[in-house]
Amino acid sequence: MKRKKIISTISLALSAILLASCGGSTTGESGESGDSAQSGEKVKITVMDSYAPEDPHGQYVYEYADAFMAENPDIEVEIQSIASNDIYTKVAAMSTNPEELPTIFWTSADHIPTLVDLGIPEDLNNMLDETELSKFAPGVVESATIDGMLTYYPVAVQPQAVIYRKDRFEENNLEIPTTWDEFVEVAKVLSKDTDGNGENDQWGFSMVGSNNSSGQSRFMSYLWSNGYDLVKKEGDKWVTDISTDQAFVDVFTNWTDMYTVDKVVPIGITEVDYPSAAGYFSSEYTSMFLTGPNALGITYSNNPELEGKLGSFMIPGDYPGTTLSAEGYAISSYASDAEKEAALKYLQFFAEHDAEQKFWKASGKIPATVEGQKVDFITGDDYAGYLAQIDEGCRETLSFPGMNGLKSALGNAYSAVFSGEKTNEQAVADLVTEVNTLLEDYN
Amino acid sequence: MSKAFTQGKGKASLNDGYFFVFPIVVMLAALIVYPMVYGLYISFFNTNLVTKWDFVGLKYYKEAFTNPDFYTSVLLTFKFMILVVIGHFVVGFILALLLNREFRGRAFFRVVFMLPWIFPEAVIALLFTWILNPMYGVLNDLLLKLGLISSNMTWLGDKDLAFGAVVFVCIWKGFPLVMTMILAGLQSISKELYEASDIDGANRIQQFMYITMPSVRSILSTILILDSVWWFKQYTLVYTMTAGGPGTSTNLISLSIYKTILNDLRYGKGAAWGILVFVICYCIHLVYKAVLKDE
Repeated sequence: MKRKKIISTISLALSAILLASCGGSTTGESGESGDSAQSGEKVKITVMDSYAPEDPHGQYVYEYADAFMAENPDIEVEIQSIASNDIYTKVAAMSTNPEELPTIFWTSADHIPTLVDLGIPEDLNNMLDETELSKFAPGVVESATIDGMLTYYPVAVQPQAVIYRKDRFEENNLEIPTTWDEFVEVAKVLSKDTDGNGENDQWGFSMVGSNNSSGQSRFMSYLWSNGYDLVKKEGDKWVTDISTDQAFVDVFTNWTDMYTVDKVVPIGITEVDYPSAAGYFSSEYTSMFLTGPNALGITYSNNPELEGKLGSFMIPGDYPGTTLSAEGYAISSYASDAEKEAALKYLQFFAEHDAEQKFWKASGKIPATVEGQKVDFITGDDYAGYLAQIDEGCRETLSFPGMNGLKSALGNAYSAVFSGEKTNEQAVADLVTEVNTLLEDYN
Repeated sequence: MSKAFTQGKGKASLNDGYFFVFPIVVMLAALIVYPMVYGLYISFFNTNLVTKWDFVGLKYYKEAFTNPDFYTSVLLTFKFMILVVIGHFVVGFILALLLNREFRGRAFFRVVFMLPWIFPEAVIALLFTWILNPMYGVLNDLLLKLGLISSNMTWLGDKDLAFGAVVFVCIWKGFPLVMTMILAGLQSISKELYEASDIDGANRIQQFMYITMPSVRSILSTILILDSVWWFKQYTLVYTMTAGGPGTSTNLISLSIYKTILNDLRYGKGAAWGILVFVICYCIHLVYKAVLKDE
């Protein structure tokens, strides 16, 4: 009898422990922090940051956080460093257990529609008044707004343009291309066998051909600049211009031909991700690079001799090939009021306190504020294409919540042609099927 | 009286049994049964798990059979698994036989051949990605110097080469486990058996077929099951090297499901594919069980 009682007690105790551990903590971080704030203790905010792991500007994220904590001893900032291509997946996965979400997370125009669909970001219209909003440069607030909701706090704008080697253009008497056909012709002239071994070792175009967000975004820019709306809302339905029409197939083919036929991009293109493409450009293997202005920061950091040799021009084509691509930090809607308040204070500090704009100068990113855009480092030829694009107007930010699925479908299509797995026609046909299946899920 | 006493004692020990297994039943239910049942549940929905729960019934199951994406990925995974497991057995068996012989430095080589198993998969994947890099990779440089190729090869960027390259790396990574298990089996065979067969006039091949193989057969069966299941669900190495590309050349089913769920956030579709893969794995288990019932 006694033995039975002992066994029962042990069994019940073990079960209780297991159930308790499976159930997880019922007291969310926000609740704890909220209580802490009320009792006068430190408020802790966590920042899931994609700038932090990047060079050469990541150091300033930590420097700014330290400076902020020195000025605000009642707030503790914890930086969690994570790559930009991974942060969206992580935050989206965390949405099923919102207590785990960081107080602030880095985001961009590409990712935010899905995160809004998941109900993660706080509407910053509730926290920023007109005076605060007027500090942002024209178009920036609109770029971060979806259905009237200000979804994140922009700190930089990253429209796409083409940076190029002015010196090589001059040597070869080349004009700035305004169409994609001209672009390919220029790229052919700039692709050379400099050591005479029969193989090109210098290429005209630093294409990002990897099937990841960086490659997919650039391909989207290319299609936009050719007049294709990849996804748009008609009534209450999402529709696409992607089709098996010959005109679309031709445009698709012109992109893949740059690798398979024209040979104006480096070998092994499916392995060329953004860091590799930026590396090729700064190592002088390539002469043109479709990218955001941050590539300028990386290029100058890797190869200071290129300062003064670079220019930029708008993406060729008759249509805007880029959104303003504001990027910045969203505040979690699940954070406590005290955390949200501290988070906003931190973001305002981040955007405004540094008169030298060290973060932006090092990263090459264009500041998102009116005051920030007065800095002199963006006045040269290297930023001319970006500023011209901003002046001329960019595309509206997409609000389609299935952006990642759409981008994957595009990436699968061009990657299949680059590898020789499919012809352009087959790839487009499969792309159309994949995109239509995706849209079904969102209609 | 005696019967009633026995029955009472039987009931008591039955209750004790239930008490003993209760914690582990709770744990299994929480960690295995619940996720599977939940996975089955969400496979009937078009959902992002937070704000959208649209019931779609068997839509994703039907799609899996009508859209080639699913079954081509499953077939590719089988092809991958079979090639990798064969590679492990061939390399593992040869090295185990060599290392079972007496020679100077045997202990050193046993350690060296274990190294691929010790390194983390992500490290090995990155290492080979650099070795196979089309611009800077040491393999291209070596082959060019030897005159075996005339221009740089894109090992991981070509549909015909990428799959083979990934299979090779997975064989390299996994053979030490098979080698070690077989070696352990070989060392348990009594030398007297070989001496007796020598006296009977058996040659090396006969000794291998009639002594070595039967002695290690049960170990081989176990490794076969473990290795097949392990490499069927392989993810890290392939994802780090090619992310399933280029195109769909290395798009194993584990990668497809991962991308569908965590990249595209199409949880329902991913869950349906996961359930189908579970059924496939269960069928593999039944086949193995039938084939290896004597073991």
